[in-house]
Amino acid sequence: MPIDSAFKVKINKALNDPNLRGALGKFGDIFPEARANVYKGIDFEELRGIIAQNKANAAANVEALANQFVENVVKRGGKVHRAKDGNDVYQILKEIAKARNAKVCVKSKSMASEEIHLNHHLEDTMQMVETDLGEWIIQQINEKPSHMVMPAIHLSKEKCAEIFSQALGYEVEPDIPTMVRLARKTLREHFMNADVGISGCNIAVAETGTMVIFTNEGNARLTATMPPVHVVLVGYEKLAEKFKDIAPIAKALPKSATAQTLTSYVTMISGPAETLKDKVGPEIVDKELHVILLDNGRRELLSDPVFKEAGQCIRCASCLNVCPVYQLVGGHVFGHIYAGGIGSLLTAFFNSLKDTDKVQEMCIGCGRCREFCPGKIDIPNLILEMRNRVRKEIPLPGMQNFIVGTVLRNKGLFEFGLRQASWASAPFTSKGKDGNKYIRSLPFGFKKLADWRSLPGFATTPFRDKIKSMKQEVSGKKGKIAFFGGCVIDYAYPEIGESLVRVLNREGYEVVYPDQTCCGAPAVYMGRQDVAQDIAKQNLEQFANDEFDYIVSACPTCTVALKENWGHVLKDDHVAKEKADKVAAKSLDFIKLMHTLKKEKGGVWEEVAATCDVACPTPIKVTYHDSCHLNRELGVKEEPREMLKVQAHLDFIEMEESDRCCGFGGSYCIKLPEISTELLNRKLKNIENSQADIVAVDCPGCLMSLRGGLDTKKSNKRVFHTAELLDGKY
Amino acid sequence: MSAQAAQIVDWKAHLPQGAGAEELYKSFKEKAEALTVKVIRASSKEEAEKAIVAEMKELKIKKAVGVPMTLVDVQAIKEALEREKIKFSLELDRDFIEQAEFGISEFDLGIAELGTIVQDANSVHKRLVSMLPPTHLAVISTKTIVETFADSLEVIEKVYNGNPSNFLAFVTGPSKTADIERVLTIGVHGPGRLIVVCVD
Ligand code: SF4
Ligand code: SF4
Repeated sequence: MPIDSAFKVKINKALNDPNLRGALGKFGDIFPEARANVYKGIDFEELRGIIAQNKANAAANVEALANQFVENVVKRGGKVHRAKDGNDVYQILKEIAKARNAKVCVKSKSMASEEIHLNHHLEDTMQMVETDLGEWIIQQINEKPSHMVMPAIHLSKEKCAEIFSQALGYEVEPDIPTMVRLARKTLREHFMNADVGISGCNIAVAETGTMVIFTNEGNARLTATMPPVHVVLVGYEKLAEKFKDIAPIAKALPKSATAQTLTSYVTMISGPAETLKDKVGPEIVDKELHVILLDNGRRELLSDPVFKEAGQCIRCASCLNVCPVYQLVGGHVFGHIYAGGIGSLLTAFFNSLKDTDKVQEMCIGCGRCREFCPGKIDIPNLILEMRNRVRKEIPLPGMQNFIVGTVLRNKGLFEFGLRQASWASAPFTSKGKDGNKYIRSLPFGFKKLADWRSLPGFATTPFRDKIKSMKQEVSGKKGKIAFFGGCVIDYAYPEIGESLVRVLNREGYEVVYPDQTCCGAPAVYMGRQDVAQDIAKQNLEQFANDEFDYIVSACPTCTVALKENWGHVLKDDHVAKEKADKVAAKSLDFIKLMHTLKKEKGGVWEEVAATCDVACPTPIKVTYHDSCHLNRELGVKEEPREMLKVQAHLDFIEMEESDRCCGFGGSYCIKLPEISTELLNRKLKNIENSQADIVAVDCPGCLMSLRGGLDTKKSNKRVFHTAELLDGKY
Repeated sequence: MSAQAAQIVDWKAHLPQGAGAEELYKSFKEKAEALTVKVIRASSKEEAEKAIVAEMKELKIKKAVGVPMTLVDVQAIKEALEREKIKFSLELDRDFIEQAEFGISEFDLGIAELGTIVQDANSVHKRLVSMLPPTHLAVISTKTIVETFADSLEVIEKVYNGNPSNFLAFVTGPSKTADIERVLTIGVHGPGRLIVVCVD
């Protein structure tokens, strides 16, 4: 089962941990601005284009680069070991330790060593000492890092002081400089005594055999300098072709990781440097340099036709820093070493598909991480691909699987189900402050669905019936537009559809409503691309029709399905793919279409709504909430704002964090209501603070969520779709 | 001694055009100072030596260490320090270096856009002196300041003819951490104070 109660317990524990919430929340708020500052004057798109290209090329040539790298290290006097997994690494290290009779091993930060639980397996061989401050702290309490760059971000300074006191055997005050000083002193002794040093590596250059390590504390330099033996653990994905390829990563990594121009230290090791004989000298000898090239699923990842893209990751963790879900729950919920969206992808290869099953469900698909990723990885879409792969092996639980696999797939059954819902939910429906119908509570096991935000009541007459009786008066007819309604508008908010028809009629277009079923997005999000294929084909029958000038949808999730998903899921079916491409080329989201039509008229911006339903002597303050799919997947950001700003009846103002996910996420709010609630509450707070009377949205899903949340909070603010606003219905 | 240490490295011969230009120095100074680095300009060898002694006096240093250098006369520095009763060792004595409060060494390049200094640190002596004491003073030649990180890589490729030194150190500001509550704290494992003397 994808999300089980044990997993829910973990999530709730994280959500109720004030330290965690405080630390992650604060950092999440500060990071984007600090990062933007340090990237000032740099073309991020160009930079990440270069990194992605270099990394993709390296992945395509990984075997050749590995051979070249090994050859160069050996030529310079280093020893290379290839390890297929953790077991190999333990064995190699045990032999190195035995040959030297080594007792103490100092380690500088290496995520690869965490991934294979190295300390645990070598404890009996040597004393393993983590020397990165954060790593040392969590090592004392046997925890795993919760963040790739800041491993102890989940601990407060008070908790750290407790850990210090325990480790050092005397009371340590929760004063950060004091703790840092004590760590320096304690770890210095270990450095002086250590027999072996183990470090990770950020880049391994094939051309020169150079290994590059970025640190701020300086522990990697000491690890590489003090002990007579240095072992570098290198993952295959760190390979780079040329020495000059270091530059773009060095430019991006520190900026994306901690908003620094460069880390305090960049160490480049290309061979066994000098060291002191028997740790003290003064005689100088060459260091014993070992390189362990670790596979552990990496070669499979790098050669996977779809997931090789995840190999472009440079482990900056900025995707975690900006992820609204990670900000709420932190890294430990993810259960494995690599957290967040990228973590759920890496875990599938470094651990197993089963291990990523639950954690990949955590992604709400908001797309924010993708905007920040210096490796240019489309994390949310790769997660959907992963879900599809996981669901082939681990099916959804019975009822959900039946709904997606049978009801959703069958057009008639699906329509029947939604029509039934209308009368089945009627007894639980009542009117809200804004005059809309809401479901505030549901009986039996469904209570949780409506507890934290009211749900819309189902419409008595769906849009598909309503449009039949609508009189469309189009003067100076320019053409015909097909409307893809989508389930939410069709069955919950038919009035949005009616507004859309009226507005487009005024622009000179007749609107038709071809026979249609679900857009298939829910199937894609649940990992059932097989079902999405069938659904797409059913819809294409009606929509791939030359008589339509445009195909419009007023739900960005449906628009993404029309423009992207249909073609993607049908890519191996030539006939269907051709139709899907035709549909994709003509499909637009409502607000984008309006913007386009207005622009065609020469960019003359005039009032769209002929009348306004309420008497308003002064313009009404309206703010805009960006839907994740419209904003980040379809790249429509400015168009709705431009359209709202020119309406004389409206006074447009921006709210804080307008593009932050509202937590709806389709089936996500049913799957993980705990997280959805938190995301929604933050959004509601921003709305309350905005001074606006009306929130404009382009996504009926967001609208459902926001209206429900505001109804629960008894707010006076109202939420409208832009189609309604442009129709004067507010 | 390892084979590499004996190799004579001529950095100046491989610098790009325009290296050491006044605006590069200015940018270097500005970026380094933003990271709490003290940057001192010396027009001559003697001025640099004086500045080094003055820095140690100001910090009331009792024990200092250094390595042989080309840009300044370390013997002259040693004599001047002895007159000030500051112990100064040029020996490769690990425990003395660990106890010292101040280390001086020479760096090979500066990077203007970052305030970074670059050192061929194959020599273990150089590494200990620049890593262990809590304050480090780096001497660089103003002429060797290049503009970008990528430029520095190009110089390195040329200087070593495609086989970079065993150990290259890029240092940008003092050692720091933000591992506890993300509060920036200076001086963890490496020097918490960094001074750069640029000799013309
Ligand atoms: S798409 Fe959104 S929720 Fe998913 S990993 Fe990225 S930032 Fe997190
Ligand atoms: S996926 Fe992208 S943003 Fe996330 S750690 Fe990797 S490189 Fe950084």
